[in-house]
Amino acid sequence: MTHTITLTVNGKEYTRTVEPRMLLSDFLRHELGLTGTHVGCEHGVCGACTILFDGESMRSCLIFAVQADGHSITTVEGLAPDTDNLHPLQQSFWEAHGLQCGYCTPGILMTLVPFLRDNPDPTEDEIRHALSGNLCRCTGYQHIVDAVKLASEKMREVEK
Amino acid sequence: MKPAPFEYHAPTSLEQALELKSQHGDDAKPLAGGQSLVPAMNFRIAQPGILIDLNRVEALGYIREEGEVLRIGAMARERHLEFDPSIAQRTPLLSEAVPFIAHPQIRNRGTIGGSLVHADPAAELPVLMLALSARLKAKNVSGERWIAAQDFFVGMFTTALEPNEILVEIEIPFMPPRTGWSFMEVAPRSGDYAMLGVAALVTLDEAGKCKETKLVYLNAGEGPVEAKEAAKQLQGESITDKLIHDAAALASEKEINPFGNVHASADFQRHLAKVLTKRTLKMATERAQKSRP
Amino acid sequence: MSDHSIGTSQSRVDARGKVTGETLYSGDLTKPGMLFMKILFAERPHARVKDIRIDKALASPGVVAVYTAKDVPVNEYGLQIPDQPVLCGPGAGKPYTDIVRFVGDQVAVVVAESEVQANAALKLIEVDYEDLPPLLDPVIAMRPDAPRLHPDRGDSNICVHYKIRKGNVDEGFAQADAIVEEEYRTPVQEHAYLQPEAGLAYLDEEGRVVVESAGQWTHADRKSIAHALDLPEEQVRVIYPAIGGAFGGREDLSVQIVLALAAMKLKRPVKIVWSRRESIIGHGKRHAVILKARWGATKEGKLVAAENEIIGDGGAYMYTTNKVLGNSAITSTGPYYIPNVKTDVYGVYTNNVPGAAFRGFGAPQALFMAESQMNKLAEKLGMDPVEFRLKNALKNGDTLGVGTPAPNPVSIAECIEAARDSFNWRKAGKRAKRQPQGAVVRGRGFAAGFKNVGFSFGYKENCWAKVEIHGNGNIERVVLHHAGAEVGQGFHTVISQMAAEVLNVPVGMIELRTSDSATQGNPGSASASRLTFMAGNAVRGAAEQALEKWKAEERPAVAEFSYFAPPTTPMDKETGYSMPNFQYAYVAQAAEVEVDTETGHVRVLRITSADDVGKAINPDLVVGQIEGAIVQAHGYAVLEEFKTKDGRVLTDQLSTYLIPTVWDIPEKVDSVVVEVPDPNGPWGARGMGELPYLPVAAVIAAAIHDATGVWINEFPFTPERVLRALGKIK
Repeated sequence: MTHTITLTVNGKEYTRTVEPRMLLSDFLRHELGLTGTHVGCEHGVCGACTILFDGESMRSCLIFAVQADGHSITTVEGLAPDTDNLHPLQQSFWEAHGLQCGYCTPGILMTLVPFLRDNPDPTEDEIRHALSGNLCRCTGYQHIVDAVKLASEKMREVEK
Repeated sequence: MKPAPFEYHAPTSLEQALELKSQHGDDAKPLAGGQSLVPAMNFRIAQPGILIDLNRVEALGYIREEGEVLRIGAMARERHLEFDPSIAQRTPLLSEAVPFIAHPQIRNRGTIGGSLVHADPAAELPVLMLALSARLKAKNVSGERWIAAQDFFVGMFTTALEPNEILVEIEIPFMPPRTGWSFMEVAPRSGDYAMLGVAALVTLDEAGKCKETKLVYLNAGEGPVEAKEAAKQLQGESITDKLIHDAAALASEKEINPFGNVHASADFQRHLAKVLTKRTLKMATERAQKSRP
Repeated sequence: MSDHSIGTSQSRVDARGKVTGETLYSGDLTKPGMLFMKILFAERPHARVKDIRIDKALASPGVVAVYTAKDVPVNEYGLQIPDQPVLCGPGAGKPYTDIVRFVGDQVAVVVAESEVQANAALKLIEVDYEDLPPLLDPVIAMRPDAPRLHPDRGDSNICVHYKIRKGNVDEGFAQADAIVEEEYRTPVQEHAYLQPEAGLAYLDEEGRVVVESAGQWTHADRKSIAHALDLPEEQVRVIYPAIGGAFGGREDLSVQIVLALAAMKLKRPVKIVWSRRESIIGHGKRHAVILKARWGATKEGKLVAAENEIIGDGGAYMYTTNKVLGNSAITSTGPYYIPNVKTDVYGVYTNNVPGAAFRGFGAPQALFMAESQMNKLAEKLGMDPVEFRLKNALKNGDTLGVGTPAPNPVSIAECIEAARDSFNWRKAGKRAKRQPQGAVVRGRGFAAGFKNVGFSFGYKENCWAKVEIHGNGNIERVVLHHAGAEVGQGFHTVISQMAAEVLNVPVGMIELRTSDSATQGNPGSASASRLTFMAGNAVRGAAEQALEKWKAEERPAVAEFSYFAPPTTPMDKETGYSMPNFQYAYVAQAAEVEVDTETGHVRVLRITSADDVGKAINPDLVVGQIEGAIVQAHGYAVLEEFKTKDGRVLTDQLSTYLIPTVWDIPEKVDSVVVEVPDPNGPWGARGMGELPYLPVAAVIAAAIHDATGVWINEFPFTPERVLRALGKIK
């Protein structure tokens, strides 16, 4: 049995027919072609597939697409305000070498969006708490933490 | 498509959900946060024929005070428990322990009811419910009943719920005055299932003697395991290091039944139980002493 | 306009696509009309495949093809020797390819219109196995009477044996005032790159089989694929999309040959994506090694003799075991001068998951032994471990165990001094004074290391590059062609900086054409810490020649250049005598740890790593390599446990094979970048990607000992192992 769902992804409305067992991560990647949402473990451990579900960070591999009917999803592709400008988090990860292979990066960015919204001036400890559900095998995390600090500075600048 | 096919229902009211559960019984599994169920389905360890998604049922996500108790809707997200001011004030043990549950993104989705019904012996929330003497409200189409936390967990991944029932509410009494608390666990990696964990509560009387103690363990048996004898040893006593040591020895050697896993041997789990019992009892006692008026 | 980019921390050239999600990894690729593949794994450590029946699978909805051993033109592959069947089963032309030798051996593939259909059909393949007793212990497997896992490859499961004989160890030990004799064990490690294996194969407009899949050496992948498919190499084209981490684990092939086979036969695009479980059982691991050492020193603190026996578990197939263990042999005496050396190194076939390349490539295991021996000898002699190391540190002209000196300049002393001073080793004071109260104790430790840069043992080490300069009066565009793998280390950024430096243009002007075996020459692999050194020389050469042509008014000015490194020689069979490497890089580390003696938890408070990189082309990228390597090695040392039972993998998910989160890492990593230029290196650079990894397990072991008084010769130093060592649990 299939279900017809309508959801908003990165500000755009989509209507699709899906089998209930289709994971939101697979829906985004295969049905919508939004391959920036990466899959690393299929059971909620690695964090690579983290997206925003109504503005909060969640694992898209642990939610069925059918559950997103009527909801708003943001993926890494929807993070930049327009094609010429990047989100301060994206800019900071670029500038501060907050990535190496980059496979974990989209999930990390999507984890941090609501975190910095709720904690505009976080301590290093708070940043580590926020990042604890995202695995990175390349960087050793320090440059990621530095990039988050830089992003929070940039975002506070904009606020001023 | 990782999971096996299933039939999906998304009721918008509790009545509809109960009706579906009544129709399908054990074939239908309620889907709460899905943070344990969906991984199990992705690996096809779980293959429910029917899912009843509770995420669209309004009014199951509340956290409120009523008289001397907290009432928590079964669909309250773990993230809300973590930051709720009533919980922090009335049951600080719960606030202290919730951050040990997995990671922020998981807690954003995971629910208290989902975790309790999943009844994983390695999970934090069942242990906390026992420690806090919670009552759990189950409903079916024809009515409701209350189940004490200690009667709710009947075995590995098994609860006292009937096939036609859904867990709807958790009632937690406020922690009594002069009560100290502590939760500690040792996980091989932060955020993962702990190799062993302990929740401890110590309530002192007006003279500073121990009125009541609770010690509940995770990953120490087929469900949350309470060390009642060890707790009883402290009752009526002025708590000393020696008494704490003896209670920890009794609890870890006689009262728990850990069986080891890929990351820890049973011997190691017992050792951890002893160490953590000492540490949590000490901290809970100190906190209880501090809170004396 | 001058733009000196060497030595500056330029932003990564590949970052934009990685932060926007535009960058495509192998699993993101699609083509119209694409089919999906699933692989049937053996899931048993040792068996003979008697029969495979595919009729039901073939009749299953959507199934286009099912392939087994008899469909593979040349059913063998392997980076060093072709000892692995592409598909295990009867009917192939080659003998013994019906034998399954580890759980991740591939038995059949299904190709279907959808992944769901391929998956469903996979379950319908019927395989008759005759299970054979698995050989899981290398010590048992190397006995003469052990059943042979590769009957066509000699009369023993010992697939490698290196001997090093220098001086006379008996005479050496006769001079020794202190002798330390110990046995060590180092564990398997899983690469756990975040992106599981995936790929897309199709035929291009010229009829070539194209395989787009992450790897570490385009041209080696091409060679193996072409061999198995019995095609000329030109008929196979390997392209790398973005690579989600590698660390050595993508040197050996995984999905490439079967994908190419299916695309060639079906003339349609075929895609595969491995699950995490498939990735963990399906690719090689860091070798588990047993190391026995007996070392002696005089009371003045001079090393006089070292005798080592090293047994590496090669697992089911050779992969790069011969080279990995060669490297263990070289590094087994540490970066020290020892006049008398006797070392035997064995690689052994077993039915475990194959031992493979992994950051450090045999050196971390050997150095855990060597550096632990140094720390224990220092303790026995009552000497400071730093002073003891400096007394024995290799100097220019000192011979290694293989009888020849390491190429100049040898910089281990500089690294030891840099780590000592940056850590403030001397001021750290006596142990007792540093102790906090209660169950938690603190200690500090020191260790060092060294490792070759580039391929060893007589390989004709080379690397290709091409530079195009476009424009009229001024340079308007620069196109840099290179097939070297960007695995996350920042290679594309570094070569862009190098080309920009030579041509005196902004880094942003460099357009990259990367990793396509059809249009580019052989880059060699992204391994052995070699790309900055090798590709740097190649890019520099190509850019300089293109610039000459540009100055001579050629438009466009195009130059190709192949760099050949100084020659090396293989080890002599009986003595190991050789000039095995053209350069080494050196490292020293100090660490401070806290041990909870009740829970057994080890917390690394800080670790200082002094790494001689020759010249930091991009300092931020260098520091990123140091931090990343230390965290990965810290995982190896204290957390990661690859567990098996009867040859089957128990830790086959990221929830059971645990790699560090941001909370499970040293609290502070201090990177000290030492720059002693290598005369052959581009701008003086040595390679460094593996370097910071090397001493970590030994430095933590030393610090745990300093804290607790106990030496632990086997890691990971998990709470349970630490408590056992402390006698707290049975």
